[in-house]
Amino acid sequence: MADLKTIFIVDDDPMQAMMLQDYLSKYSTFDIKVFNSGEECLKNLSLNPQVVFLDYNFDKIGKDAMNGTEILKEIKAEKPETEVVMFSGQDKIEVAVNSMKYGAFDYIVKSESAFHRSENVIFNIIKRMKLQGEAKLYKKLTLVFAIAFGVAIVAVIILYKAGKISDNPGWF
Amino acid sequence: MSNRVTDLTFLQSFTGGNKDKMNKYINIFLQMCPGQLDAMQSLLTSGNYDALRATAHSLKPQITYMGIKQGEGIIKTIEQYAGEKINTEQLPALMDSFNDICRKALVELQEEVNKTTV
Repeated sequence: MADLKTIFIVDDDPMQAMMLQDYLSKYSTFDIKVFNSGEECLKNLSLNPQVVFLDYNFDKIGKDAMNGTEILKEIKAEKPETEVVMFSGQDKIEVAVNSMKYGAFDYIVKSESAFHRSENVIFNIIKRMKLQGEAKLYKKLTLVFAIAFGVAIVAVIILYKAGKISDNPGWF
Repeated sequence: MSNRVTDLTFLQSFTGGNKDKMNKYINIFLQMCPGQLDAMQSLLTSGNYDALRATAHSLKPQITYMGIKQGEGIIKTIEQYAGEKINTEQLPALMDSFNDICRKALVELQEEVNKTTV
């Protein structure tokens, strides 16, 4: 069963990060960690976050701070299964498309509705995790049945050639 | 007729009317906004439009959350003009308007915090 536990919020705006953390805290099963730079987030990827809410710009920290796209690429390279949701004050379509191109699960514009959208994104990610888990299970079951069926066919052929079974079942 | 520049409807809804939480966010804004306004003014004076755009960009969501409706449009314009380096002659006047609105907002928000902590 899909189980979402660890969420990262990565934003250099303390108010934005705090508001999102507070909003999502109503779900007590989430362990939410806040980082104010991409570098800090990357250092902590060993905590295996399932979802990362990542700011697009880190201008507050300084010119040399990694930007959101660079961090996104690094997260996906190290933890491909981690879903990254980009957060930005920009509502330009090319920024959103660019983020999706590098593997972002979704793109949310910072606004009054951003928090509710974040919640919906988490539910979508949980659904996807469930479906992926079910798909893996069905693949395994299909493989088991295919092997069992193959073994059964081989057994029938061997028995038939050994004369142990005939093609006349005897009830005609 | 009210001349208020702040509308705390969103914040009230977001916090479920919890005064402590509202004050927490308002206090963050009260701490950060004056410095950001001064920074924007200084960047404009020095002609550093890229940094002005970046500062406007980060202040923008907070203006929305504090319900400073009159400031939303102005800061978006400042961000755009500084970012694209167009109509830069309009930036001083825009910055003055934005400053006035924000200073009023800061007073109103401080009153809001004082009102609930007395």
